[in-house]
Amino acid sequence: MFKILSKILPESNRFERIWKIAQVDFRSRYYNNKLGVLWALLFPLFRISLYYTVFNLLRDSTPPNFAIFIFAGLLIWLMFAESTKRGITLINRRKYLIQNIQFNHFDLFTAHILGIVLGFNYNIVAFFIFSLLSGVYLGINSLYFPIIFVTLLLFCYSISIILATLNGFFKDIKHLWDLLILAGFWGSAIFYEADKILEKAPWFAFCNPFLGIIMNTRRCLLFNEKPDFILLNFNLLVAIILTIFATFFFKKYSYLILEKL
Amino acid sequence: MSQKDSQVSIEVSNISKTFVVKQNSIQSIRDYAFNILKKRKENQIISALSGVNFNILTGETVGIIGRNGSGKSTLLNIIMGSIRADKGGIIKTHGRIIRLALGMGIDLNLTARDNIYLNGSIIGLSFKKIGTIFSDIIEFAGLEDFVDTPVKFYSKGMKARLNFSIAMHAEADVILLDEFFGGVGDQDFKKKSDEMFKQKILEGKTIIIVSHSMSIIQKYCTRCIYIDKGKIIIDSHPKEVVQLYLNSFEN
Repeated sequence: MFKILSKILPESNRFERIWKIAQVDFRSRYYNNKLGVLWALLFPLFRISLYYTVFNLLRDSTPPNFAIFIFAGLLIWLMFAESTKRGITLINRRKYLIQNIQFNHFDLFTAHILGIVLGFNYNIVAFFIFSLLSGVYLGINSLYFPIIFVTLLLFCYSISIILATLNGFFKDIKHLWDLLILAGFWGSAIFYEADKILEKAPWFAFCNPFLGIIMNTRRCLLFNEKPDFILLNFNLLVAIILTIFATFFFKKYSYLILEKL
Repeated sequence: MSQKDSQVSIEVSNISKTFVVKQNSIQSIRDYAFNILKKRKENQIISALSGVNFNILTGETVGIIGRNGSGKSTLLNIIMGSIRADKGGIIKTHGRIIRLALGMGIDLNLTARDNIYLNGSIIGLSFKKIGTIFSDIIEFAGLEDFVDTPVKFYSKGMKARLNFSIAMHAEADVILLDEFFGGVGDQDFKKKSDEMFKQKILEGKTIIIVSHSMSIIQKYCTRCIYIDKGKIIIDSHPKEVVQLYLNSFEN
C-alpha cells in the first residue's frame, strides 16, 4: 500500500490531470451540439422511448415496467459500447500528451473511463427518476449493484486498452468491433429477459458476460432480487483476468505503436 | 567545473535506434489474412541514431541542430520515454521532463479558461497553482476580453500568445523546446515574451532547444550538438557548431 502511495504522491498533480482530461473528454462528445451536455441525458431517453414504442407494438407480452426494463439494459450496454468504441482511437487522440510529457500511459485509460462515468452519471440519475415515477423503488438488493458496476468498469477499461493497442497494428479493428458490438447488442438480453436464452443455452452466459451483467443489474435495481452469484463472481473474475492481461499486453506492445505516432 | 563536480540531468550512453520498415506492410486484419501465405520480403532497416553519447548538466542550455531526418526528433522521443532505444544503450534522466512545442495540447473547442487548466495540469501545475497564476497568464497573452470564448474563434496570433503564456509556467526540471519559437505575436509581444522566456524558463532549469533557427541557438545556448545521419558530428560551443553546420550546406 505504502509502495503504491509513494509512487503516486510525488507527482502531486497526477489526479488533477486525469480529472481534467476526463472532463475535456466528456465535453468533447458534445462540442458540436447546441444542446451541449444536456444531450448526454436526452440521447438515451430518446433511444429508450423509440425501442419501447417499437417493442411494445411488436411483442404480445412484455415484462412489467418494460420501459425501465429496457433502460436498465441500455444503461449498461451503451456505457460499454461507447467506452470501447472511443477507446480504439484514444492513443491517437491523446498523442500530444504521450509525446510531450513523461507520465504513466495507463492514466490515459483511467481518464477515458472516468469521462465515460461522467456521462453514465446523467443516465443513472435519469434512470432513478424514471424508476420512482414508475413506482419502482430501490430495495436492499440494490447494494449488490456496486459489484456489478466495478465489473462493468473493468470490462470497459481492459477492452479499451486491448482495442487501442490492436488499433496500432490493424487499422480495420474499428469495423470489426462495430460488428461485435452490434451482435452483442442483440445478444445481451436488452429487449428481452435473459432467462429466454439461459433456458435454451445456459452456457451462453459464460460466453457473453453482458448477459449476466444486465440480468443481475435488473434483479438488483428493478426486482429487488439477489443477483445470480455464480454469474456475478464469474464475470468479476473474468474482468480481473482481462484487466491483468490488458496491462501486460499494453506494456509489451505499446512501444511499437508509439513509434508509429 | 568538470562534469563530475556538477549534477548531471541527462545521461545518454551509446544510444542507437533502428526502425524496421516492413516491405509487406500489414495495416489491417484483411492484409494479415491475405499475406499469411505470401512469401515475406526482406524488411528494410533504417538507422535513425547510432551510438550517441552525451551528458547534460543541470542548468545548461543545450542546442541540438541538424537537417530534417537527422535523428533530432527520435532523440527527443527517446529522452521523453515515448519510444524505446535499441538494447545496449543507457539513458538516465533526473527530475521531471516536459517537451514544449508551439500548438501542443491547445484544444480549439475549449475556451481559454479550460485550455489553461488542461494545459496547466499537463505541464505539471496543480489546480491551486493555476488558480493563482490564471490572471497573469491571461493578462500576459492580452486575452482579458476572451477568457470564455472558444479558442477556435481566436486569431492565429491570439492562439500562439495563449500557448506561449501557458508554457512559460511549466514546472519541470528539464525542458525540451522542440521548434518552440516563432510566430508569437507582434514586435511588442516578441520583446515581452523574450524577457519572460529568460526569466521563467532559462533561469535555473536544464534546457534542450531543438531549432532550425541558428540565431535562437546562438542567442540562448551555452553548448550545441550537431547531429547528422543519426551520429553526433560535433558537441561544442554554439558559434563553432553553427558555423560547421552552415558550411555543410555549402559543401
